[in-house]
Amino acid sequence: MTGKKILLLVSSCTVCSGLDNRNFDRLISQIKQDRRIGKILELDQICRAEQKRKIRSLNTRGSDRAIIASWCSREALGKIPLPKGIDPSLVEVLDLSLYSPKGVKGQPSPEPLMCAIRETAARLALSEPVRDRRIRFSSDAVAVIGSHEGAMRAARALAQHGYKAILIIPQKLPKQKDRNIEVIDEAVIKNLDGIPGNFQISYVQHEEEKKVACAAVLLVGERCLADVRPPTNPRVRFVPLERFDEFMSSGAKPKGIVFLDDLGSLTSASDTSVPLWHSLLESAKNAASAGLAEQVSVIARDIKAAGLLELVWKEAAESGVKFIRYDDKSRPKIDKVEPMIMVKDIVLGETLEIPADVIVAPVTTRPWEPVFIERMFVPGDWDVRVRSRGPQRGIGQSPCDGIFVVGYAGFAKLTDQSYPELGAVLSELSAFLNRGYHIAKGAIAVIDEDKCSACNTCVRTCPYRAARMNDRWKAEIIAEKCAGCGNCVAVCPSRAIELKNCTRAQIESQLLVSQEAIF
Amino acid sequence: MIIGERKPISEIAKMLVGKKKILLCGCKTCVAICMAGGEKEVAELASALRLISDRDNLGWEIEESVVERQCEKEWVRAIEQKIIDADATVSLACGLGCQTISDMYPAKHVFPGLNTSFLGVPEEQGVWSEKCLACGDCVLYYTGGICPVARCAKSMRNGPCGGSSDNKCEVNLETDCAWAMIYERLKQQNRLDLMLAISEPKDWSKSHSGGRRKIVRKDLLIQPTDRTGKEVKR
Amino acid sequence: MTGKLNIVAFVCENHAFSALRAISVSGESLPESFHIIKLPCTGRLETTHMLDALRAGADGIAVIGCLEENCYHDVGSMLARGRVERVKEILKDIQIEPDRVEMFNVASVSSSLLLSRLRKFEQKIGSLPATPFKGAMR
Repeated sequence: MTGKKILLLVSSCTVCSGLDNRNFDRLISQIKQDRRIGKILELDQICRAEQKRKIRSLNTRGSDRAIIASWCSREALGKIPLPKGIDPSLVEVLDLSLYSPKGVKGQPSPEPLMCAIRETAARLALSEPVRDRRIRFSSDAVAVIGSHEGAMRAARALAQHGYKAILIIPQKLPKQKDRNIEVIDEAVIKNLDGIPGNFQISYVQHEEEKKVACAAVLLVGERCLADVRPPTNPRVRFVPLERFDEFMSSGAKPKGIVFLDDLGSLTSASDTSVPLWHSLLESAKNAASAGLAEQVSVIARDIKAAGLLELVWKEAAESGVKFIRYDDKSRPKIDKVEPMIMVKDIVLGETLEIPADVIVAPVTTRPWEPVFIERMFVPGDWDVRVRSRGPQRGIGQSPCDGIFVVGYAGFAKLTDQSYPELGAVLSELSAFLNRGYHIAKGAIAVIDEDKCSACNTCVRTCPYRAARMNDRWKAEIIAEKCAGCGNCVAVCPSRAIELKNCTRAQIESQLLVSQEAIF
Repeated sequence: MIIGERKPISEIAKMLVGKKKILLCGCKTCVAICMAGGEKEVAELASALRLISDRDNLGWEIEESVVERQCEKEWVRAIEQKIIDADATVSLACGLGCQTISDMYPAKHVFPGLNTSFLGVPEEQGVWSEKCLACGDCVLYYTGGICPVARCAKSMRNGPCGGSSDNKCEVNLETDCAWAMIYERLKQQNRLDLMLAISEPKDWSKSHSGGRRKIVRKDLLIQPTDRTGKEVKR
Repeated sequence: MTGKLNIVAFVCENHAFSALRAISVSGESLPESFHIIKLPCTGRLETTHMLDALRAGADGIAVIGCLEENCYHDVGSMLARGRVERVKEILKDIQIEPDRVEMFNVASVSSSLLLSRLRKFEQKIGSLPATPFKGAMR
C-alpha cells in the first residue's frame, strides 16, 4: 500500500441518488473516517459540463489513485473524465445505483453506499498500475490448412474477397495462377505457435522444416474415407457417394456393391446425418432396382429408419438391399485377398463375408488436426477432446481467437453440406482481420518460480494456453496470451501464482472491510 | 507419486483437543501435486480449524508451514524451531513425512493430517489411480508395461483368471481386467509368445510381505566404517 | 435472528456483474445485506476465501458466476461450483450450516431472476441461527 491516499469524487446529486442532504452528509462523514481515503470532492450533477471541467483541472497531488462514485447511467458514467495525473488503471468507477434505488425519495440508509465505497477503496489501495497493450497483427495473410478440394475452394474464396491466402496442403498441386494465393504443397503441419494476429506455423516440406507467419488460420475440413481404404485390396474399388450417379451410368457391372456409413470423424464413433443417410438409401435402392450388381448391401452401425426415412428404407429393402449392422468394437474390414468385407453382424453373432467389388462411402470431414487442438485452448486432457463449451463464439470460430474452422462435422456429412458455412466464416474472419490488433491484458497472472512445484496444473487449467513449462522446468505465463481470469491462481497447490490487482491480500482486505462495516 | 487424501477435519480436530499452539506442516512434493497437502491445502485446513477454534473458544494458535520434502531431515530441520515451539504438529505430508518429524523430535506430538493411500498416477486432472504396489521384483518386462500385481485384483502372475469377462474384472465390474489389457498390449508389441510362457511364482519375500524393507548402498555411504575401521552395522 | 445480515457476494466481472448491474435499470436495488467483491472470474475464488469470510463474521456467502456451459473464461464457474461443494462438505463436517454458502449461475440478462434468487437466499440466511463468528476478527 502506498503512502498516497485515494481521491474520492462522489456525486452529491440528490435527484439521482434519492438521498437527502442529511443522509448524504452522514455518508461523507463516515467515509472520511477511512484512513485509505484522502481528498473527497462532492460534485452536484457530476454529468454536467462545468463539473467535468472541474474534474479535469483538479489538483491531484497527494493521490495516485481515485474512485469516481455516482448514480449516473452507464453512458454518463463512461463520459466522466479521469482526473489528471492519475494512472487510468488506478481509477475505479463505482455505479452506486446498484446499492440504492435511483431517484427514490426518503430511501434507506446510506450504509450500503458507504460499504461499497470503502470496499472499493480497500481493493484499490493495494492495486498496481497496469496497462493493456495492443499488439498489431504482423501480417495480413490467412493460412488455409486442409486437403484437396476443400482447402482449394476456401483459399480461392478468400482470394476472391481480396485476402491473401497461404494454402498449406499435403498433396501436390499444379502451378496456380492466382497471385493472392501462396501455395505450400506437399507440406505436413508440425507446430503452431504465437498469438492471435501473429501466428507461426512450422511445417515439413520435402523433408525440410520451414516456417510461415500469418495473422489468422482457417482450418478446412479434410475429405477422408473410413478405415476401409482402397490400398488394402486392389480388387476393391472405391466410389464416393456423391459420385454414385456417375458410376451407375458408367456401365460397370460389379458382383457386390456395399454401401458404408463412413466413420471418418473422430469425435462421434458413428452418427450419420439424416440427409446423408437419405442419399445413401436412395442410391442403394436405385442400385438394387436397376439390378446393378448381384448383391447390394448396406453396412452401418445405426440403420436410421425413422420418419420419412422409413419409406425409403422400405423401398430399398423391397428392392433387395441387404442391411447389416455392426458394432463399434467390431468394425468392418476389407479382406486382404478377396474382394469382400468381413463384418460381425451383432444380431446374428456371426462374421459375415459380404461381396464387395465396389464400396460406396460418403466422403466425410475429419475433425481438427491434433496440433491445433492442443494449441486451441482446449484444456490439456491426455485424451485430446474438442470442447464445445467456451467463450461466446460465432460460426466458424474456434476457442482460440484468430483460428477459424469450416467444413468440419462431428459426423459424416456430405462435403457440399459443409461449405455453405464458408460464407459466414469469411465474415467472421474479415472482422478479425479488420480489427488488426490483439489486446494483451495488463492485469495478468505472475508465477513465482521458487514456489512452483512443476505440477503442470496451471498448464492444464488455463483456458487460454497462457501457462507453460519453461526450460528450467518451472511454469511461466506467456503475458500476451493471459486474459487475467485467475483460474491458475486458485488451482496452484503451492500458491506460486498471484493475479495482478486481484491478489489474496486484496480479497482479504475487502472481506475484512465488509465485516467491519458499522455505523 | 504417493497419493494421499486429507483426513476429515473433525477427525483432525479431535486430535488437537487441549492443545494451544498448533503447527501445520505441508510438503511441496507428492502431496502438493495430488492436492492433498500443499500450501493451498495447509491454508484450507488452517481456515477450517480457525473456524472451529473461534466457535468453540478453543484458543488455538495455528501456524502454517510448508517444506520442500518432508521425508528428508534437512528440510524438516529448517522448521525445527516451529516444531519445538508448537504443542502439536499436524503433518499434511504422507506417512513418511509425519514419521520423519516424529523420529527427529520424539518427545513432540506429531499427528497425521492425511491418509496415505497408494502409489498412483494422474489419469487426468483430478483423477489418480493406483498402478504400482512396490513389490520389489518388477515384472513389467513380461507384461508389456502393465503391472499385474497392482492392476489385477488377484495379483495373478499368469492370468487371466476364469472370472475375466468382456475384458472386465469379476471383482469389480468397472475395472478393466489387467490381463486382458496385457494381452492386447503384448499383441500390439508382437510379443504374444510371452503370454504362452508360464511364469514362475513370484518371490513375495521382496515385497512388504517379507517384512519391512531396507536398501543399503555401500558405494554411497559416507561413513561406512567407524573410527576404528570397523564396519558400522545398519 | 436479530441484527443486520451481512452476506458476502463474490461476483465475477463478466456475465454475473452484467446481470447484477442491470438490476438497477429496472429501479430495483440489491438487498442491503449484500457486500460485493468483484473477481475477474469465479474461478479465482479459493475455498479459503469462503471459510475466511465466515470467520470474519459473514452470515452467508453467495458466489455469483456465469452459466457453466457459457463461462466467459471457459472453466471458471465450473471450478467455482466444485469449490463451493467442497466448502459445503467441510462445513457439514465441522458442524456449521452448509446452506450458508451457495452458488448462483446466471446469464448476463437474467437480472430479475438473479434478484429474486438473492432475496430468497437472504431470507434463508435470516432463518438460520445467528452466526457464532460475529465480531470474532475485530
